[in-house]
Amino acid sequence: MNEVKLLGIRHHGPGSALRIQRMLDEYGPDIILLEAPADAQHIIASFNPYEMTPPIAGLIYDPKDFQRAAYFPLAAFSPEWIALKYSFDQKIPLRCIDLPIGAILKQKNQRSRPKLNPFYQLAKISGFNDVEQWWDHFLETTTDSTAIFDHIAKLMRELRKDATESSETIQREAFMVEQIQMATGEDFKKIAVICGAYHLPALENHKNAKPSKKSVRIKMIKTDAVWIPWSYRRMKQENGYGAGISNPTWYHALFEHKEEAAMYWITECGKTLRAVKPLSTAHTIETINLARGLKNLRNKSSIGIPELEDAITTVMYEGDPSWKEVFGDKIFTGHQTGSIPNDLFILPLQLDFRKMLKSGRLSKLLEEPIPMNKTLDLRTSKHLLLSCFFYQTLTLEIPLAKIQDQSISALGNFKEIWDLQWDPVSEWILIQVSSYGNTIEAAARNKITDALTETEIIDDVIDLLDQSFMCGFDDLLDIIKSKLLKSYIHTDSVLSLLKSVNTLIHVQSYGHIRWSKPPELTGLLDRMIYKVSIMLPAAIYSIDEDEIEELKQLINQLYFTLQSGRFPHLSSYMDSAWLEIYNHHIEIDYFSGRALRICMDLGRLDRSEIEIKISFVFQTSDANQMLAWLEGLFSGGILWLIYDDIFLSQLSEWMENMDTEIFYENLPMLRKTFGLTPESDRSNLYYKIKHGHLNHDSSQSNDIASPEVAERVDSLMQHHGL
Amino acid sequence: MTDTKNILKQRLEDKYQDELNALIKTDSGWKPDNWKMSPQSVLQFILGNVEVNGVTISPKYIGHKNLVETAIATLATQRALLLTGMPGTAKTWLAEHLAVAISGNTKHLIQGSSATTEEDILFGWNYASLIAKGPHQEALVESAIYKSMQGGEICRIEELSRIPAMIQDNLLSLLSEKLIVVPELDNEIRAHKGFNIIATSNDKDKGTFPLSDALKRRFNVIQMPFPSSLEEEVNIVRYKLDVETLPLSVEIPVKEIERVVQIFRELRSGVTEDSHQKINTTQSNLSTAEAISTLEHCIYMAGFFGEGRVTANEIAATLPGAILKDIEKDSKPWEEYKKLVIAKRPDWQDLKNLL
Repeated sequence: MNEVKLLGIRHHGPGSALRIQRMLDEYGPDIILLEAPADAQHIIASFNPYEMTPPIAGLIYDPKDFQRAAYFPLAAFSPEWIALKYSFDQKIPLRCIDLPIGAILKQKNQRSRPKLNPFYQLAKISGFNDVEQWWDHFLETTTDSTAIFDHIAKLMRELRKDATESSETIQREAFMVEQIQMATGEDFKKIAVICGAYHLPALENHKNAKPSKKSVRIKMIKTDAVWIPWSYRRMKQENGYGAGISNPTWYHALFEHKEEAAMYWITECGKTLRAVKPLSTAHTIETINLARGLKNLRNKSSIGIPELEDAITTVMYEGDPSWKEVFGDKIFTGHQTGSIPNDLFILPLQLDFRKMLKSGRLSKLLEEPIPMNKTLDLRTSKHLLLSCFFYQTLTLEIPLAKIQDQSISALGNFKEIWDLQWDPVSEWILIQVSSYGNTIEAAARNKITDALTETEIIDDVIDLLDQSFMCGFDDLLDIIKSKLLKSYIHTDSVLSLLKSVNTLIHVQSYGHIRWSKPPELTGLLDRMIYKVSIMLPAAIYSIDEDEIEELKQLINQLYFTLQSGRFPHLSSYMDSAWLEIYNHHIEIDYFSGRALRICMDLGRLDRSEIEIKISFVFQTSDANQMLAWLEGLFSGGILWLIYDDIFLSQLSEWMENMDTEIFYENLPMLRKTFGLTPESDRSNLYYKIKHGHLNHDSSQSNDIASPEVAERVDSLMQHHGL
Repeated sequence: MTDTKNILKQRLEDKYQDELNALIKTDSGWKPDNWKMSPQSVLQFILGNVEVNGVTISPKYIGHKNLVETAIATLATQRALLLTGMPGTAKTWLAEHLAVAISGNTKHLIQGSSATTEEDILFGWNYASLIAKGPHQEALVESAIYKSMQGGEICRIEELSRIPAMIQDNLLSLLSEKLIVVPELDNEIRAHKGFNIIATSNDKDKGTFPLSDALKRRFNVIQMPFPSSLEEEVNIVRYKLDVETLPLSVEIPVKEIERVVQIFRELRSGVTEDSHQKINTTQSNLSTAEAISTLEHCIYMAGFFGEGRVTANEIAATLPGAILKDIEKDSKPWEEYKKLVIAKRPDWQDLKNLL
């Protein structure tokens, strides 16, 4: 004959936790049946309250798809934690009797969100904003534990009398009833069932419901379970088991200090607010007094959150309630995170992750989810290693580090600034990526290698090259090179090629910063630029409107790098490409303008040829074409204009004869083109236009405009209504 | 006493005699020493809307309940109470009503100003008597605080921050020690239980002496807010108009009340009620009390000079007076408001045409 005691609790309610503790001590069961998913059973064995610090969570997941998972959180003030600890101390079995997550996942994608907390609704009706306060007020009337649990059961029966339940709840409760029946059939004398109070009326049925002949086979998918550290911030959010709680720090205080909770909590609050207000112990004392006074006035049996808030506003913050917004996160939620012993991190990758953080003196990130930043100097080997580590986590999509933008723009800079933050929930991402390897480095390397073997697209390969470069994987360079050699041949997009070339040059130039062996890419570069130079003349014809801008930018970028003179024969490839364009590109557009310019610079053309070309362009083109051509012509500076009188006069004539409308339309583009050139060039040109000769006296500064130009500007301004 | 019918503003203890008696009679909760009723009854008196012993208790303060609870709890725990906020947020009003409920009278009052002296705070001397007979008890002129300490009653200090800093400092030791020393008589007066201070102050005004940290620490501070929503403010205004105005049987449509309150709110907050448009605010303080008196003005105008009904005519006549307190600084925002907001609202055209 065995005895079954049903104990209804409020999930994560400190009052419930204290009561359960007392009850278990009094009752002394030889088995505990806990409302927890049955597929969490195998991690119960590794639970050790003396080596783990709450808050922690049991993570139950589908090993084939980590997105499908459920969390079972435990805080120090959770009745569930108390139950687990009791079973550990007394060495009695604890069984998880709720429907397995595997079954729920089989039926649909996510575990449904828990219903609106019935206790919250009851509290509100009674005029309490603080559920714990309401619970304490109405249910903590006697010291007799049994009586209280009976009251709770009665309350729940009334509440559920006419309510309709979701099919998931019905299924779960049927499963739990079955589990209770199974336990009663075994050799236990005193069975304690600990479940959310809401389920009590259904579970009481275990006596009446017919036990099925064989247990119904439930369809479920296989799941894995593991312990992970959790945080109060996560507990605040409503997910996993039980509704979210709004004030983890307060509940913690209630559990630890019971009647003196207010005193401790207000003192902590005072400490935080001391950052902005001069608060003394006297303030704390007055705050506690006021909280008590309010409690009495409001006829409540204990101090709750509303009293605390009002008291702190009035005494510590001079009547201003804005402290709740500014400090609310720290004061109400708290930054506490739990920990589990290292040997429970069954996966080597998790251990390696922690080891790397420790060697970088960043273990603090694991304790508190507060952001911090770190500046690295890549000339130091330790920092270089850390930088590679951060990039490896980025490759693996582990949300740990983000680089601050400004350090990127300084190419070849040794300095990097990183923003770091660790959310304990991301632990499961570590679990997920451990399928790639046993250390962060190995996992990142394998992930990149896998991606390399799978792709043929040159853009992807270049991206992977970039990643390998940043992660410090110079050993992958050979694979990447051979891949590139194969794929560049097939690519027909000059844009992709140019992008690749630019990346390669960047890696080549700055490789020595990150890699121990500077990469040897000239052979590859040679081939690729050669191909670009072959493709460019034809590509210009077939290129899309929207791609033109990108192409221009890529060409500019390339020229900027080639200018440095480090790759002389690469430049010569491009030069022949432009010559080709000059000779055969009939259209008057940016490219022909650019081509003309480059050939002029190279000295490949003689004077008369140039003049003929220019006249031709001036006479046959319309304004839009002309402007595009000019943009190409002027790229790289206008200094030569100053010396070229003939061109200057032709240009001048053309502009004066232009339609006002078109001139106005294209003014921005013209302005941009000229604006890109250095100021000294512009002022020299300006002087030349005005005076007809160069300015030999450099002390002269901006003059007034020539009459025609001034007139033109005036009419434009009038036109615009300025 | 003087004929109450001729008095302009009745003493609260007379006005609410019935209510107070009813509350005292049925009072059952714990009472701090020398309080006339329990804190719960004080709360009922202030919040009203309840019937006690056959007497309807009218609401005195319409606003957040927990604000009033905090004020009462403060006084019950023997801490001094400071009510701060913009003018017209019912600071003095609340202080008076708390005093009458707790101590049964409102007689102990110090009106703070830059002319307030030490004698007003502690005690003074009848100099003729002093010189004639030397220092003796009868020559002492007791201050309001002195008397309330002796009687164990509430003393109010209005406009605390208008009192010069030097004089404010007298309150420091008074509030900590709860005693006044008279060195000339080698005597000290210790406060009787039930003594407490309710102070009001408007820190944001010009010409004030902000309280030192040491003095602030001796008070629990409550910031009196403006009503948070249009609806709340309209309710307050309607209630006050019902109670306060002469029985002239003048009709005042709710629409007009809403209009005036909305104009005041928008000019006060700098943004339209629907939060779509930013407006320049006026320097003038457009509080709820100001709205109430403007509408009272409209009622009287309609009653004596109009048609017995408040219309846009009366509103247009009184609004500028309320809004343009500083001609230089307030004209521009007011003109903009008329052009950008009033003109754009179709159902406010009647007002626009009259302004």
